[in-house]
Amino acid sequence: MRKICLLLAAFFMASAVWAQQAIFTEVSGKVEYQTAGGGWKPALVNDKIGKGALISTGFKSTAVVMVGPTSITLKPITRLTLEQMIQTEGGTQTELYLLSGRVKADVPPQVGKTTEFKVKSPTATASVRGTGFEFDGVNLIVDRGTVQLFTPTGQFRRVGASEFSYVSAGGVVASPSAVVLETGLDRVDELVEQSNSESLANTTSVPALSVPITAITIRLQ
Amino acid sequence: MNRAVRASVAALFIACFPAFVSTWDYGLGFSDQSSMVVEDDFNATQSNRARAWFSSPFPAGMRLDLSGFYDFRGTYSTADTGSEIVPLRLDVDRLELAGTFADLLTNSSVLRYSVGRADVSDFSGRVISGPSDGAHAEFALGNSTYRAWGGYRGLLYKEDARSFLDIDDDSNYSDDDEYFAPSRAFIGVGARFAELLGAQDAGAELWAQVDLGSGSTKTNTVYFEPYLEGRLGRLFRWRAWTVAEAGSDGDAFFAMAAGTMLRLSVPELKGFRLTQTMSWASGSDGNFKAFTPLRQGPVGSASPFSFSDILSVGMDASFSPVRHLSAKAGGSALYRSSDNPPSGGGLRDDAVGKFLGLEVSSGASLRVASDATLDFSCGMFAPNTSDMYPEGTKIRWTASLSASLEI
Repeated sequence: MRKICLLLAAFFMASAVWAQQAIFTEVSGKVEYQTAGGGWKPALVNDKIGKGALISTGFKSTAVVMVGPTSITLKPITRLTLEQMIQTEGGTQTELYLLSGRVKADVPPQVGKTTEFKVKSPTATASVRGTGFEFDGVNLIVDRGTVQLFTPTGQFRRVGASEFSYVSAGGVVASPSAVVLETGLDRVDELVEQSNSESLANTTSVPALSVPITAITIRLQ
Repeated sequence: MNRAVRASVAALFIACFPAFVSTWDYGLGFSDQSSMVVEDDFNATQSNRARAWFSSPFPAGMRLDLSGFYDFRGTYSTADTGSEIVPLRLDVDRLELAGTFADLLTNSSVLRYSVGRADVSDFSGRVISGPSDGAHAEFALGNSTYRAWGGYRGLLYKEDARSFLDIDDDSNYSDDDEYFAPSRAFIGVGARFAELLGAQDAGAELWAQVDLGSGSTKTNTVYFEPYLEGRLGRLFRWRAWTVAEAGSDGDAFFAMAAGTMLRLSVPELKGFRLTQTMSWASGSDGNFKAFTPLRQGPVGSASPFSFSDILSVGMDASFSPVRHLSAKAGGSALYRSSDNPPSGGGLRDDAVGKFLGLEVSSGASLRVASDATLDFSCGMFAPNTSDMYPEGTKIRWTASLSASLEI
């Protein structure tokens, strides 16, 4: 009986789930957050926020938030909700909802643990483990690791380190092209232009429509 | 009462117009191109184009894209053919209504369609390219895409259609009173499988063309085009394609074309790219006939040959020394595929061998502003005078400067 109790206790400990908190590690310019049911507060370094918090950055303002080992950089004019931050014995699970703007995420791999990280937006979802990337819902640039960029129809391309890809207005994933990482997605028009001239694939065969992109998913290769 | 109704309608229009206009997208574009070719004679061409375009959402999730242009072209030549001015030409280069059906078969499928005048191209762009009137459908399911086209090319300007499938087409092209292209219809189907094996894509297309003209010859053709393309690591890209053409002009005939490309891209070195290409089109030789696509395009930029009875092996390099400026240079060796005179003509009677000559070209492109670009290119074709062209055949020089502005 004692053994059974110990086994049950071990099982429940192994499957234990507890909420994580996010910590502001860098704040520059006007950065505010709103906790669930609370008012807006200016963000300060070392401020801790929990699930449901909404973060907003102003013009020329940035913030870096750590959720466990994952670093999330909010670019200027970004609004982001922390939808899910769970830690288990097996790893961490983080879901962000990007209302507007752009985020850069660094999701380091953890030995023996899984790190699930998703950035959702009204039109797309970026899902990744063990890599670094910048994503605005349509355009993807990968710092390290390999990421799969998915369209709603299930078409995907593997995007490797120092590569850029995007989903065309026609809903087709462009063949990834080698790029320099210096400017990230700041000059996304130039990256798209470069990708179009570099890519051998026809990315847009039927004219652009506003409808098709309902969910873009990127996954770790 | 009548005044009240008018006033109400006017008020409604004023209230709704800004919201309606806000969904429109429209603009103007202007381009100017000055080019010259110096061989035995001096030829200069001046081409100006003003283009207006309009794009708007349409009911039922559709979209309308419309663009038209005014075009002027004048040529000056010291040759016997003299100079020519093509009067102002008004034409539509795009009139397209497009829509989408999502989740048609499964929740991860989408069907896109469009009707009207729009650009159509096969994988290599060597069978058909440029505008066509017709319909296009594309069905995406998972990592595969299935496409179908159907259209008519007889309403296109003959210079845009560039149809040279038989002697009737040649007559049509040289007839100054004829504006439209020969009456030909086409259909096409294709399938593409993205990342079928690693980062490699595979696909195939089938095109068919029917001669609807009333000329002396009826030439109908079919093209089968399988292709492969992909990436090798981060820096290399490649592609290979082939076209098998079968047709009938009273007698059955068979022709082929093929091409390869290998490109090295190193963005860290000022966007450096090195591209090696090979393209081949059969000539009339033995079992083959000269390759005759729906739309005939040039080979290279300085040589006078079109993509028929030709082999081109070339390499070019490009880089971007500063932001918004790119420069390129390249060269290619040109060979004829058969023992017949190639499309450029001018061979001596006792010409032997295959090597036609060497082409070298260079150019630069500058983006002055986000919607304004300047392009310059120049090149030369040095004919093989040792055993192909008559001694004293001059080098063919070309230069072109173009500017474009979008508002």
